[in-house]
Amino acid sequence: MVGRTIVVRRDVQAEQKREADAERELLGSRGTLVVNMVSSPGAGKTSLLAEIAQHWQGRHSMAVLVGDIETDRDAQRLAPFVPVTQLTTGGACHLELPLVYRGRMALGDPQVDFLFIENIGNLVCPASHDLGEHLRVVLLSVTDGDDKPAKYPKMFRTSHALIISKCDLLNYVPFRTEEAIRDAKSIQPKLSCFEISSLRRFGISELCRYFENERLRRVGSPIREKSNESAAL
Amino acid sequence: MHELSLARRILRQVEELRNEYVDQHISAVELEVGLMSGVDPDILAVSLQDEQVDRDKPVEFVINVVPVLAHCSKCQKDFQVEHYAFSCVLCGSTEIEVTGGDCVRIMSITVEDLEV
Repeated sequence: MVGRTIVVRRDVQAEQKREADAERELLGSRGTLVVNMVSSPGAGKTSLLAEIAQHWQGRHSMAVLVGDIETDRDAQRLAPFVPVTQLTTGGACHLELPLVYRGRMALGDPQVDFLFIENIGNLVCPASHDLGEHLRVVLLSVTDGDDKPAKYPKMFRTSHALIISKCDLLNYVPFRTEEAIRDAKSIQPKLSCFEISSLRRFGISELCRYFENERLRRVGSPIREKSNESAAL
Repeated sequence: MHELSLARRILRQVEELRNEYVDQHISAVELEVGLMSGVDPDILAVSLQDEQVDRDKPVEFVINVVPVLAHCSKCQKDFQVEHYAFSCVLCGSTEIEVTGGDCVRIMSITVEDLEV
């Protein structure tokens, strides 16, 4: 047998990347900024989303797809504030685009200013899966420890913003904020950094302003402002 | 990463490549696994073997692990990124572009004519 070598140079995930790009483009063209929210379990993603929803109430529209391995508890928590669909993976440690798509359809394919995808709590696998988001934001709670950016670099490398959560606990835990930010920025120099507490409600409006500006910048369409009357309600 | 599903995806793509080269057997495939791809090359190798256990002529996979490479937009230096430190090793600029080592690629295939 005569063998010959043929150069191919094919990215084996090119198809998934194309699908994610198409999703990003479609939702962007409708004026929806898609945000993929990632963190370790228990860093406060759901609490933050409830705060964001209340902050924007009557001003900006948003919807949430919330991922978990089991239960619809997060969807129940968010339902009073925002249209939400629970994505239950039954064991998978991250969300993938087909499940996100089904969730979006289950929610009635909403025309909203912001679509948040709350990923499975995991600082490893979600880093390798593009969900067609415009922004990836990673939460790092002060109880997680300041060494996590250095230990889970790919998640921080692939994120646009770092949200340090539960900052109301800073007096009780040995978390060095500067160290965490320094490590994270050495991995991803372009990271925007925020310090928040959902419980004490600080840092939320700055973070929301960031999302509003990013929407303008990336999706290129102004916020569909509701009437002043409804905003006053 | 999820090496088993990636292995299946790679084997599907090898099958597609085989269809492009009708009547030819793909005997070997050279893969490139980037250090920042999130893929464990050893687990991928085992997964590729396991997925082919029933085949008469399994494809031989050669896996090359490649470092993360970057290009500095400021001083134009090409360099290797070590320990996820994403700034230029020469001028310290953070205006850099990753040029390799962040994905898994099929680099080449070796085909053999079935008729000799």
